[in-house]
Amino acid sequence: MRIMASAYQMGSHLEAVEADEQDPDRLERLYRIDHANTRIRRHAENLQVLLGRRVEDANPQTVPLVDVVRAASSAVEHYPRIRMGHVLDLAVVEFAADDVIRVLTELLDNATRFSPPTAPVIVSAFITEDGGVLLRIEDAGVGLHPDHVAQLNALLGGRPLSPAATLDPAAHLGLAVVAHLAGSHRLRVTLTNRPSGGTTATVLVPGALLCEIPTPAGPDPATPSPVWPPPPRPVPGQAGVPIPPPPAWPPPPIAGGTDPWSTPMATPPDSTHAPTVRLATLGGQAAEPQPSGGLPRRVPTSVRDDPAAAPPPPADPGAGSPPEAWPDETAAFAAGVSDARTTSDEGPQR
Amino acid sequence: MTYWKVRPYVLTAGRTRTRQPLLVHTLVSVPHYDAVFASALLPEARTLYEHARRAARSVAELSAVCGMSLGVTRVVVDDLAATDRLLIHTDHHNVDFRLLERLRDGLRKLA
Repeated sequence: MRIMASAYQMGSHLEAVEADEQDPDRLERLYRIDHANTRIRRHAENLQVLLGRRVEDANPQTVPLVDVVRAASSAVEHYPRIRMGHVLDLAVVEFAADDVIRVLTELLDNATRFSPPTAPVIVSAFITEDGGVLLRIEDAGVGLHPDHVAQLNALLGGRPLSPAATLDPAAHLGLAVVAHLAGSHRLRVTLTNRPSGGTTATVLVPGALLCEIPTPAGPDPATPSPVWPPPPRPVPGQAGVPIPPPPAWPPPPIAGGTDPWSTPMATPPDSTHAPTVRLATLGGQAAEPQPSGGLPRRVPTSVRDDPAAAPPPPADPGAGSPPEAWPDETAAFAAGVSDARTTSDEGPQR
Repeated sequence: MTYWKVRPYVLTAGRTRTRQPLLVHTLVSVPHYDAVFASALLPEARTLYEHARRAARSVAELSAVCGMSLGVTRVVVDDLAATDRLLIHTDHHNVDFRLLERLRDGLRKLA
């Protein structure tokens, strides 16, 4: 865990230095350090996987397949030999992206390690007819021992090695990591020898783990999502659609304070996604009002329904508050309504 | 923006040198924009190509608008130039070295 954290830290420091470095020689050396550090991170993460722990990603995000391939290459020793073939424009969803990268890293590492130092390793991604993606890694190595192919595929398929197996599990730690991760995400990983020489590794990523590549604006909303609801809020007000529910709701906050609009109680925690345009346009008659921080904007529109909406409060708060608070509540409510009326006259409405 | 696990050296296959000198103020431009060619490029090269297409841009400028480090930008520019898709304006005739030297000396005195 600590190794991983240190490696993450070092990675970000290195990135800053690399960005500033203008001398090609020093930059090359920095790249080597970065590369070594990335491999340390990879091994630390693999240990976590083998220990059966989930590797926590501080900032999970949807990663395009192109970047999945390149992130995987980043942690491979002989990365310059990895060539990118056709990789389609799809992305891996955030909760699986890191694990797919780890799987691909191990397979690419095997491919580059067991093929001639001059031969490229080609990785490509194709869509399958059932909506999944087939990642394909092709090397020009000597190939696997025919006996081992079946055993390794059994290992990758999550089946225990038979007692007769001639494989040394310790020699295939990388594939053990792959098998582990493949099991948890239902990836299908297979190795095949090509008759022409070399090995092909394929990873079938199920369609459930895929999505479109988020547009440049896409990744941003993901983090500041709590900030994003406010902008739409003015819209219900602009829509000018009468919403009867809100008047029914001010009473509870009124009991607690004179200014109903500033009372925190007016914004129950579950209300964050309530004030959508849809509610305003469709939910005119909605019986279950969703009070929200958007109240100041929404109330003006509700004033229109005042005669119809005013009666419910007497029945409503009676259940929730002591009778002696009742006159105060109605008075405060009336004040609130008149407040709202004045604001609506000055009008964000038109 | 590229995913953080994609390290810069992977974008250039570890290369840091360019075939020809690319200074921060070297201007590059796209002689004939080819949309099909652009769509086949990797994301970084594609953004760079798209940005250089509108007007001649300096290497430093491209590095900034594409959000890539200078080291990576140089190699990407160099690769594109090697396929003749990007034109590197190498004429530095208008640079008066004596003027630059005097400027440098003046700055040294100030420092």
